[in-house]
Amino acid sequence: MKFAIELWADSFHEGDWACRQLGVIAVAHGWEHHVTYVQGFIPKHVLKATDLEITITVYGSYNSWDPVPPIIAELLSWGKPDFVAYEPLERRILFAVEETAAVPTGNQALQRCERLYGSARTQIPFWYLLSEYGQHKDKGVRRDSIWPTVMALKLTHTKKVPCVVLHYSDIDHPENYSAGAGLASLFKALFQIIDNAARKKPFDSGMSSILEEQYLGMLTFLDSQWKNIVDYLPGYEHLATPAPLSKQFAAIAMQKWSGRTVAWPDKFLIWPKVSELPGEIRDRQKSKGLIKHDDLCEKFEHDAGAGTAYCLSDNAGSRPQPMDSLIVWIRDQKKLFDRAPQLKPPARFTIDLADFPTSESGNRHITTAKNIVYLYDRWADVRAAVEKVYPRLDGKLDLSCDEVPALVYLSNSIKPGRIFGDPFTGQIAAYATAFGKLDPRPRVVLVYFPHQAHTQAIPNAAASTNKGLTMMSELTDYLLFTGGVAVSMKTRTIL
Amino acid sequence: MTGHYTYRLTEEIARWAFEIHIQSCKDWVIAFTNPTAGPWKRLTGLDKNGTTGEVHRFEREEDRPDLVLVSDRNKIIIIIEAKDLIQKLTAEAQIVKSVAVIHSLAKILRTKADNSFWENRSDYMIIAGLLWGAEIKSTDAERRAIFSAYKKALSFNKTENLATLILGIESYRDADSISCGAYLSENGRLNGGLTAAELLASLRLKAKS
Repeated sequence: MKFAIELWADSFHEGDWACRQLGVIAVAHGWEHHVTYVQGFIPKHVLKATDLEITITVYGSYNSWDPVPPIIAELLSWGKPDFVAYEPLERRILFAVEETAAVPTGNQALQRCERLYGSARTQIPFWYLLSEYGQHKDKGVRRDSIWPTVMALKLTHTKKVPCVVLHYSDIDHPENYSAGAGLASLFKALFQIIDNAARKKPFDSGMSSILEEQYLGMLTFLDSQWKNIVDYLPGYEHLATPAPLSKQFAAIAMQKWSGRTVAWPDKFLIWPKVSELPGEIRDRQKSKGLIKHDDLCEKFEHDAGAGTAYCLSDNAGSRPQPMDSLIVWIRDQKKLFDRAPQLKPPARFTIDLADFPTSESGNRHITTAKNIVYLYDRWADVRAAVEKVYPRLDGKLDLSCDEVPALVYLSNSIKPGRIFGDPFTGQIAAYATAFGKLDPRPRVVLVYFPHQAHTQAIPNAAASTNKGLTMMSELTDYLLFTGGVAVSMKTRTIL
Repeated sequence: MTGHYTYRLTEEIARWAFEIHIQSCKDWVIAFTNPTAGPWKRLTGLDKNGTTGEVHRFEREEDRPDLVLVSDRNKIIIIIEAKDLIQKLTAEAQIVKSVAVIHSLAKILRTKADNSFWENRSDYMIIAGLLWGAEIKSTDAERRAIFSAYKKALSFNKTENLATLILGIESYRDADSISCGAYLSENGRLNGGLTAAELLASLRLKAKS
């Protein structure tokens, strides 16, 4: 029996590397593996068992090829996974994978998260392989953020498809692919999926134990890491018995194929109202000072102290920027702001260098609040805060969802042109998913860019294919820019 | 055309085709390549036990070369800048960038004697390499121009151990395949005694004229 698939990849290295990993597993099963290069450069890997021959042809560098199969082109518009397995006869994607060698510090792990969403929304099984431990520039060892894992768990549930985060490395071998369980586990799963497809078996054949093990790893990681990231994780008590929970997640991931409905663990990862928070967490909520003043951020902080919203930590660091760069960025933002037609009511550009406090090193702070996420019980309170600070928006924001919970995400970035690219696209996708945009009662999501001009979000031909704009159209409701100019992502209109 | 798909000879494909060629050269290893992502963003070397380890990690915003080859047998490192077209390598801004990248990495590698994955490779001669894709073979005039421009821009000081010879590699696409050919800015003997012809033989490349 012969079976052929194509492995489309961001680069030939990615695709060829993936095939070699599959080859290792095939050989361990007693198969043969050999590779030839068609036309001198196209890797063609053959995995040969006694009763089956699987050919995997690698098409590296997506944009070099024409035509890219439409189903892959559609997936790429949501962000490019590192490799995608495609069965040309069936015109279907078997799986997509993102893997990164980046040190898991800062935004690194989050900045690829839009790819998780892009795959999950069309029910493509997705794996994200990244380093659990990495050595920072300061030589200290850092551990990965919990948000990609939380996002993957929630997408698994919402979309009923495998969405898995796997870690390689360990504390003694940071960034080492051969340490930790992630690499082997990833290719074990991918090999099984390809073998199933080749033998015309259902997707879930032989996948239960693999997925259970993978979800167990995710839950164990979450259990050991969440307290280092946030003060509270809803349903954390479920993590005390991760084995049954991992079976539950594996079953949810395969629900599409098994037809077996599986319930979501009670309140797990569903962020509650302020009143439902544990007492000590609720009592800890208070207004905190800002690093750089902003009227609306001050309102958000006020609301966190007043009990209408809450925050999960206040460890957003400030990375002051050189004054020279800041002067250029403010000038460019002003140009962008002035490029737009006059708005009604008019909006004013008020960003001023003098408003950015000087740091000890002589650079300027651009961080406003120390929090970047605020969870409100009611959209009405977000709306009231926004309208109070920016009266020009009075009556322009949706009233019909006033009683719906809301998420405010704050991005202090000031460098122009970054809002629909990395790292914000992935970060917003992760936070919007993790904090409830896809929950049974979806939160209204407002993203606030106090230092960015709205003209960057004006719908036009170029922007309409931008992955960031595409993603934000699904996962956010409003983008709010400097001067109090909002963009409704539902209607793609400037308010 | 390959299968159902046609391709453009991009920089990635031109470079990758050469990497496949290098895999067949027993004297050479790829210490660094610059695809878009993955575990290849570090320059690596082999230690005495045959273990691969990190020699240099490029900063996120740092300009990096496209390919670095090492031959322990010949005691030579080749730092390669690549583009899909020879014309792009001769653009003024590109020459400035490429030369800066080559000098910068040459300097860095000279300081790595204490790294157990590099050690005496810090004394190896370094050759600047230029790789381009071609659907129509480059002309003599184009090659003379590119070598002349880079020879002018590079500074051949002894501290960086940079050879005066520049290696040009053309990933040429014909109807059936991509094949790699080499051009040299000059003939003769390299500082270490190796002839240019011997260098090409070890790279399994034929000198083109």
